Amino acid sequence: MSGTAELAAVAPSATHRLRRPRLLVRAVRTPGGAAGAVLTLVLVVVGVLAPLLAPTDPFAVDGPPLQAPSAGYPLGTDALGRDLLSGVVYGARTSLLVAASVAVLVVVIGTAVGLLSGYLGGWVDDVLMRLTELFQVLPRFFLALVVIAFFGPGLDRLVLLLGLTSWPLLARVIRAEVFSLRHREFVEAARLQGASRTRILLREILPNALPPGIALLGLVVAQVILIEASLGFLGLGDPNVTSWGTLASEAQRFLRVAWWLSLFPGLAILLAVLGLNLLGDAVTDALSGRR
Amino acid sequence: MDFHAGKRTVRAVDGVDLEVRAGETLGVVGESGSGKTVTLLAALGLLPPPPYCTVTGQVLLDGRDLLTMGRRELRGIRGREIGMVFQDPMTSLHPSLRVVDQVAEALLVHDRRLSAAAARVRSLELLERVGVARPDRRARDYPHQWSGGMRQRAMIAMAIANAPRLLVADEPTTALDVTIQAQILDVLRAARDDVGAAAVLITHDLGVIAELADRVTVMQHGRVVERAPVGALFARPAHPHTVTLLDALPRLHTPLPPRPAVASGEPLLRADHLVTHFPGQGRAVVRAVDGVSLTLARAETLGLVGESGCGKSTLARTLVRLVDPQGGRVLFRGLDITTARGRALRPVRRALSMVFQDPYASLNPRMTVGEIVAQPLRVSGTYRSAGGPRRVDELLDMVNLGPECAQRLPHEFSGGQRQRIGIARALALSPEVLVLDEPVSSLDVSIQAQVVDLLGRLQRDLGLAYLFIAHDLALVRQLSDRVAVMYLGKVVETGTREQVYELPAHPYTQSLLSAVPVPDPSHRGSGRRVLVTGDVPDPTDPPSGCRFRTRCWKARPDCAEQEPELVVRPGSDHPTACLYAETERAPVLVEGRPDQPR
Repeated sequence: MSGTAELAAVAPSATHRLRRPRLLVRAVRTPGGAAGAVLTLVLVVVGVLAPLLAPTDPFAVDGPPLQAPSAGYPLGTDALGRDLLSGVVYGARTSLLVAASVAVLVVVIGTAVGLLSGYLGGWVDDVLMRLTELFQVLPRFFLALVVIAFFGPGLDRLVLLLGLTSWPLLARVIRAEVFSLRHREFVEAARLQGASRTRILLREILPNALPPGIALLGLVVAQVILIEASLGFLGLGDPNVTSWGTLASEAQRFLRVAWWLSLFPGLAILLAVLGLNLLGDAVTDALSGRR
Repeated sequence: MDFHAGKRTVRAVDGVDLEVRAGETLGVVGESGSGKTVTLLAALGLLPPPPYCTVTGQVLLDGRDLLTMGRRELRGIRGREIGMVFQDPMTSLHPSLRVVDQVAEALLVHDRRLSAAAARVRSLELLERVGVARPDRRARDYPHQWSGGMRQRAMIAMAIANAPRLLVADEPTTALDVTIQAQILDVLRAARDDVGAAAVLITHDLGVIAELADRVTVMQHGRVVERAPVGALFARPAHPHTVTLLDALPRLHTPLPPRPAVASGEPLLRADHLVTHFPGQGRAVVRAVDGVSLTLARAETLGLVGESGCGKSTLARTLVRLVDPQGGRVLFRGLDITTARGRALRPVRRALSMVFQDPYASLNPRMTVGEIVAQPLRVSGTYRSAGGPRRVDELLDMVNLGPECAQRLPHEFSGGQRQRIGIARALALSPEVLVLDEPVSSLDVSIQAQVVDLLGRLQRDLGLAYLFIAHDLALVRQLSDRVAVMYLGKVVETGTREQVYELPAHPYTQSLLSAVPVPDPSHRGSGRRVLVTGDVPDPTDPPSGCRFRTRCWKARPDCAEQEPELVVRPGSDHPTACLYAETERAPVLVEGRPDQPR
């Protein structure tokens, strides 16, 4: 009618449209993101390969006590003659273990709650939000004291505690995303085809709601590591494993004579938390750039 | 002008020269991506500074280069010697400040000696000048309480507040309905003449250019491709791109090619007094669809026109059962599907399909194109039996996309291509009826024409019936067999396209048709324009009787008492819902021959 010919079959990348790299790749390309990724990667590698990397068992008393960093003991030894390097390495393992377990817990609970709350709305949303608020206001440290007073210290208790108090934030973020996705036209298209609610939730909404959640997860996990170290510092950690917090706590008495005992665990905590924060921020930035 | 992002540099504008003389209006035309907006933003110093953006060249205002000017001096010029009107009235005003205060701010920033009280008085005057009725009563309003048309008037008021010598308007009416657009164009014209300013009008709408511009510059891909006085541009376009733009434009008055005859008999899809309401604020109820009846026959195209808020999208969604109606019936092939759910809807889900408006939101960004197109097949469990990947390739081929597209993600495609993917998805189950909700509204005119051609071919090849919803009247005329006009939840006029377009009987239809800017500058001021006043009433509280009466020039007392039915009125040949329907040739602008009957 208008005289314009229809376009012949078109290959899209033949034009100036570039293939946009995936979210994580884009995040890592920024200087902050690259630094964060490196630090996080180091944490993971050290934690996973701890038995291979550490010179000795961290509890093994085989060196001279309170020795400054030297060739045989790169990070020095503590009051009992235990190698600090091994301690820090195994401490990484503990932090990683706690962080990973808590992350899993947070993602599972937070996503489920966020999805259901956001998509179903109504009374489901009300109930779940009250539940979220309940868990959000629980004071972690006091709760930790109470739990440990009743049940004794232990890593599993710690993970449970931290997991149960950290998921609310993720749930809120996911819920907000679901709100905005719920009425998008591609979701309507799926409804029009007769897709069941479950299918829509899992295949349409979830993949699109998850990225902001992932960005938040980095920050949540960083916070978890810090809290775990703090609890260790207060003496509420698991005595059977080495933790940066407990190392720092023991170092207090020797602050003036053995600076390495406070410095290296502290540095480790700093780098781990910094790395995760940087990575989380970079992913958030990459995400908002996309939008 | 170059934009830098990371390592990539995009040369948005390359060697563009623009010139505006005192008192004249320059129209800058181009499709999206042509660089027209960005050129003006750069000229006004509104782009991010290096390293994000580098601008080379000169921008001379009366011999003074704006690009090398200091910031203070530049700020003194912006808003005083140059007034700007931006595109989106929804986001151009500060949401937390009262409108009157924002207009006053435009005055106060440039005149230190003005007192706050005097500024307010002046702003009320300005608002009155741009046609805001009783601005003193609305002095305490915030932007969200004003309609799009009124907000745009406020923007124009701010732009002319300091009697600028140059008025820059970037797509000032694109986001507005056609009747409101006509009002705002008049306001712009009056404001420009009032202040005696030169103007630069950036738009993709050639009709608007024909109405207001003296000279025109056409841009494509960051370059100027043609410059001409407005009459010459339309009469003898030189550059191929200009020719394409003019050709692709659907027009209201060109002769129409005939459409194939539609089979008579049982209508495929039928709505009887359909009612859909939504809860509004508090206890208010938005009567989105309030008693609509229509029919759609096999291989027929029913065009549904109306402005925003008339209920056409809600009607579409109710017909395909995305939304539950509160009253009335929907029948598909005689089968009542009004309250059907789940199982009962299965045969309908296959036969009734929809193409959505926004090509960027209607495709799941995390699914490949192949998965998107195959989705209806998978959901209905017929993927294997329909041929699996071969069927997907077949569907992509139907919309002129190659099979290699199936592996790609939506963001790698342009708007027009995405819309074609949406069409391919809609065709997956071989439907009989396709509901198209503004399928080409967000596309450039040349891409629109391609997609429209595609839809026409598909209809012929597959025998599809279309319910085509749009606000572009010329486009609907081109595509439809029959047309229905909606206003505030009701159909006010319906008939064959010849009937409705050539002898519009309802005043609203007349005003709609006359409000469309004609892409022919020789008509400026020659036709009689039927202008509708005011804004659309609140849908939670529609006027009693005839809903259009508050804006109708023919309204009489009995219009408020009874609601006119949609029946054929004496002297007319198609149903109209008006007590005083037009029975003679309507006083609408007719191309070239404003007074002669056709």
